[in-house]
Amino acid sequence: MAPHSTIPSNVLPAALALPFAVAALAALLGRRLGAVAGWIVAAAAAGSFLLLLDLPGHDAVASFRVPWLPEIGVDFALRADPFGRFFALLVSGVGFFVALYAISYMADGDERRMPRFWGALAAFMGAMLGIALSDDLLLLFLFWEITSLSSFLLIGHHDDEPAARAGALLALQVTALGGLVLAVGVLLVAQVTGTFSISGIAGDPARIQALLDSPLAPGALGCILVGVFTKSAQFPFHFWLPRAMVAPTPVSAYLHAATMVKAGPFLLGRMLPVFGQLPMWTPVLATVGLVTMLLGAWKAFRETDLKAILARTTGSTLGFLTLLYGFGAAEQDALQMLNHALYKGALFLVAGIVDHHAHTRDLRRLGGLRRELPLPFLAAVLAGLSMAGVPPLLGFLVKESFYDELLHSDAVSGFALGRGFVVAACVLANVFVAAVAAKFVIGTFLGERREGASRGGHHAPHAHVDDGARPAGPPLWVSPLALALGALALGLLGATDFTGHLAEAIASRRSHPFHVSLIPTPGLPLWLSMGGMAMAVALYLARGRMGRIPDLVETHHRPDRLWERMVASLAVLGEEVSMRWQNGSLRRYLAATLLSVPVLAGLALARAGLSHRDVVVSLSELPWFGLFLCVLLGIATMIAVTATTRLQASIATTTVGFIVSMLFVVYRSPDILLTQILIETVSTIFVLLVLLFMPGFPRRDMSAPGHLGAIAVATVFSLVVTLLLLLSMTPGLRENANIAVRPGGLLSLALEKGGGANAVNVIIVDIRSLDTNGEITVLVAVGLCVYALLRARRARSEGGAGA
Amino acid sequence: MIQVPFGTAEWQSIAPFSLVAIGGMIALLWAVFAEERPGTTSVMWMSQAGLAAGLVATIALLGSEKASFGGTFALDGVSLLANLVFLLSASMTLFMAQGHLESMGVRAREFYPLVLFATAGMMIMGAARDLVILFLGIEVMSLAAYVLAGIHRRDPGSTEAALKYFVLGAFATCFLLYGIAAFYGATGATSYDGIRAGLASAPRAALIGGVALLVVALGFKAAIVPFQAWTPDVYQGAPTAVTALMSVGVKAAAFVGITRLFLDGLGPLHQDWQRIFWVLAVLTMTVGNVFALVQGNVKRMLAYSSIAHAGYLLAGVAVGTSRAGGAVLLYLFTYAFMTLGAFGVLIALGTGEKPNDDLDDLRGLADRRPLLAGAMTIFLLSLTGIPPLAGFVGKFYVVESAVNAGWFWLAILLVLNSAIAAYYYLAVIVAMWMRDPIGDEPAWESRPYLAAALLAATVGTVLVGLFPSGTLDFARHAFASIVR
Repeated sequence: MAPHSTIPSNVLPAALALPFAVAALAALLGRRLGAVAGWIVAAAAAGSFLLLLDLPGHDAVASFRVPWLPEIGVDFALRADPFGRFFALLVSGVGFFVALYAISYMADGDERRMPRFWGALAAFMGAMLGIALSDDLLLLFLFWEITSLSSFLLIGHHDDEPAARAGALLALQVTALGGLVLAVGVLLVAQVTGTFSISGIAGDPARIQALLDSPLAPGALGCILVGVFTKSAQFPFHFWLPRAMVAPTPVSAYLHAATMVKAGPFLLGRMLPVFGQLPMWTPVLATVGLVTMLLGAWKAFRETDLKAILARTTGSTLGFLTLLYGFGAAEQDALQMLNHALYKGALFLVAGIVDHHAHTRDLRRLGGLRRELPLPFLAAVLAGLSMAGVPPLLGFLVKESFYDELLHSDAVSGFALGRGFVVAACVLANVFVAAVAAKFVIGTFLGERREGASRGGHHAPHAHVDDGARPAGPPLWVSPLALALGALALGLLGATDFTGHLAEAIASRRSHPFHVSLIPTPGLPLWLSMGGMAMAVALYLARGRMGRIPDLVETHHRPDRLWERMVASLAVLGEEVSMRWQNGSLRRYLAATLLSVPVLAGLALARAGLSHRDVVVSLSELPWFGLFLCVLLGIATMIAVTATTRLQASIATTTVGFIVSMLFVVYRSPDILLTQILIETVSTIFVLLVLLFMPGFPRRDMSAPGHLGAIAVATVFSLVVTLLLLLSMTPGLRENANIAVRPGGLLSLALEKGGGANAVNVIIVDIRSLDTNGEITVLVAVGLCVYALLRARRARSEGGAGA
Repeated sequence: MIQVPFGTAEWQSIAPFSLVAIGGMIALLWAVFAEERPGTTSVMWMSQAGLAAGLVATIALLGSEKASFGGTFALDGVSLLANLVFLLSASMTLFMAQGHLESMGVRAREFYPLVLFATAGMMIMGAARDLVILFLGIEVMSLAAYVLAGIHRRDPGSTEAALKYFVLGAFATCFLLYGIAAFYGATGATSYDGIRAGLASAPRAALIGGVALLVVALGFKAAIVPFQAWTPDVYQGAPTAVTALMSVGVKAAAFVGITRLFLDGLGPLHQDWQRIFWVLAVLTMTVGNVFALVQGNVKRMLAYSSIAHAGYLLAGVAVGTSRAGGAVLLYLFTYAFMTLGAFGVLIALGTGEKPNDDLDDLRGLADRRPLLAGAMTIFLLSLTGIPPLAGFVGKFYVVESAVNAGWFWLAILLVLNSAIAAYYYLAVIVAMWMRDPIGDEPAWESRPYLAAALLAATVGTVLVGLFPSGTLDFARHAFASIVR
């Protein structure tokens, strides 16, 4: 981190709060506000932009910090370092133009949905500002999740269409899952470094070293990268982005080109100073970046839908940004992002205009729109040229400087695949992207007007508005043209030092001097550019022939379908298992609960190395009448279980109780014996009384397998529990069992301190007085309830008699 | 103990639960004996007064740290915080039940006192430092809960729920007693202090068996897989207000009991139970979430989701550090608000004829009742664990304590489970906001008490989420102050 002085500033929270406040306003009052809501959102974006623009300049960094969760050292910390401030300005600046565009574009949308649209758009903008300005990893994660959520609402805007809902859900599943994994990564980083503060980690070499030395570092980086890759649609999570194109076009332009998907690379820029030296950094990022870049470029070339083309090339560019960070080329990251936001935002917005105008986005049905849409045509040409990297646009400058970086960076030569491969791959990707740009602009605006591309023709699924006749907002062409002109201006200014200075000022790592210029220096980068351009022209001309090459990549196994199948099969699994397990049968529930005991106890015993050989007691220690009682007990239990009338069952149960009481004779405990007999007698009387009111005993015959199963469960359960109890009876245990009569034990206490020879009495009224208290309470409550029931009964019968 | 006269400390420590229990009895007497049969509203308010008395006592005692009755009954941060959760859930249950039961044709005045008795049992569980006291608390709570589950006597679902709950619960009680016996046999004590003192000389098998049996018994009350089987049927069958009480109060009581028993009493045995809990936690959250995915009935879905939340809580117990203990308590607190709220919304949807708690019944709710849909959205997002709502705070600290203690994989599995959970919670949100309603608008009644309870739950969910610091501080200190 460059040594900046930090000055506290309340502007940061204000700039952040503005969109959120507007979001709440739009969501709550949306219907009453109508179209004004859009203007308010645009104004909020402009307001945040101006507030951030007005921050102190180069040598000082505005920051804001209040403790939030002091227990674990989390602050509500904002910090506008040059890179973060650039990203925030990008978010609010593009946000302004998108909002402006959306006022007109969405003017005819369903009024019911508009409050949600504006609320979600403003909340999204606020969350993106939060990501840009957070100086706390946890806070960043928080905003990260809010972007996932608000983007879900925005993508699923046309909620009456299943495709929109599915696309929104897919995007949310992938990005929210990644966000959660990111949270674990954040926690791991904080665990090792002892702080959540981003600047606190990046600015402290000792902490970075501790992190790099920690065995947790690969896990932490891995988790963070899952978050980054899902958010910015990197391979193998790239599949949600094309499906998210069901979103209204302003949303696609804003989320899926200019800002949200760049949150991934932005976080990489934040993490580069921290994790950059980890051995896995370059190989992982470079590989993922390369694959995503090439895959996106190839797929874009094959698409025919305008938005799908743009989505695929966006994926390609995001891969390229990942690659850039993989090689640690942070000096030009911000400039690359700015470049992409300008031209891709413009092209998306143009695609929206075309969609409105011609009611289709299919290139095979489009053509010759240059006369009908002259200003969008101009914007598209400028943006397309920047995308293709043609001078004098910004795209040319940044491509040159990237080639320069590739050819001279040490990190590239250290990469396993070698410099030559990387350079070739990048040129190839650029060739495809340039050809795609040509396809987009030429295919839409030049050539002849085609059938179907007319007003009132086929109604495109997302064109809910007739073209620009609505007076609600500024003409649609304003925003794309502004963005495209920005690309042109920055390109032209490349003739001076301005663009270079700008790139230097906003990059996540400053290098001085940073070379970017419109005036090309003869050298390998220039030859690569020119060669690439020639190949792109050739590719464009051969596009028909290329189209006949079968596309073998991801045609049979589309990853988005794979993902959806995975999710669906999880649901099927849940259904199958839950239907079997939770089928409502009490017997089955009981069996599951009963079996879990032997399983748990058996595992625990096995782990402790105990088995039936460790039993030290033998049956011969039991006196003959004890054994006899046990046999009787077994018989009585069998009778209770197989009883066919209520009376039989209750008598058998009572018998079981009396036999158990008699067992206390064996242990010479007459007091417990008497208590037990008393309880048995009283409860039997109660049961017999209740029987008077009970209906007949429903008989349900169990099937033979059911019987066998029940017997098996009972046998397993009782065997294991018996084993457990026998194992517990080690000699040590029996000594312990007499603990009650030892000095200090309950029995001796009763005599010595309670002063009562009848230990049970003393225990009940003195030592365990609280328990007794509770029992009395329960008894009183039960008595009251019984009385209430009887009274209610009487009242009812009286009422019945009265009527 | 015996030589100490029944002193102030004793009275103080049982004051909160005694007041609630006495309040319940007075309300019951009032309901039964009043000359004119009182309306349910007055019984409800009398019961609320009992809860308020318990609340006042709890608040007055905040900061106390002592054990009474021979060290068997604790008055410390854990029991007091638990009391707050129990009283909150009981009070909300009473408010939510008002009008709800009548519309179903249940005119049982004993409902309100029974809730108080159950609450008293929970409060005993939260303070128990002796297995016998724990047993006492569990039984007081459960007996009332069995009756409450079946309070809608004419509804076969409700009766079935009560019967299932009772039969399976009786078995759980039996396991608990086996476990207590095993520990008493092995260590000669039932108090946590005595058990800890006797662990060294105790036979290993008895301890292992005792731990296994106690895990089953308490796992049953907390609805932990594989002892969860009763949960969906009982939660769905019972009147929704009772379900809310069971999924918050009963579960919280079980978890406070588990926390105190295992983290404090059986702490030295952590090698025996930690791994069991690890496996059960992962199993519980996964089964709960995967089963919840396919439920077409929102109430049943919430039942499964409450199983999943039990898994998250159990993960905190498995981690076992004092940080994790604080996280578990915090989680209970956050869980109370959002779960009560979600069930409250379901109550609001019901009419006399139909419960209206299928997913299809919630379609288009945002158009018909935007405020209700908004509240439900907040509760569901919070249950998902989306920041900055209470549910995120609870989940976050459990994950944080797991990472902090080096339980990396537990943290990852918890996070993956949250992602699965997002799927079914969002399905409800999508239905409410993005789908068109089916059928005619039901004839909803206005229920001011329910509305107030929902407002309170919403405010709690949002405030704890935005300013978690105070709550966390409270929970941490509560756990740190556990009487040892």
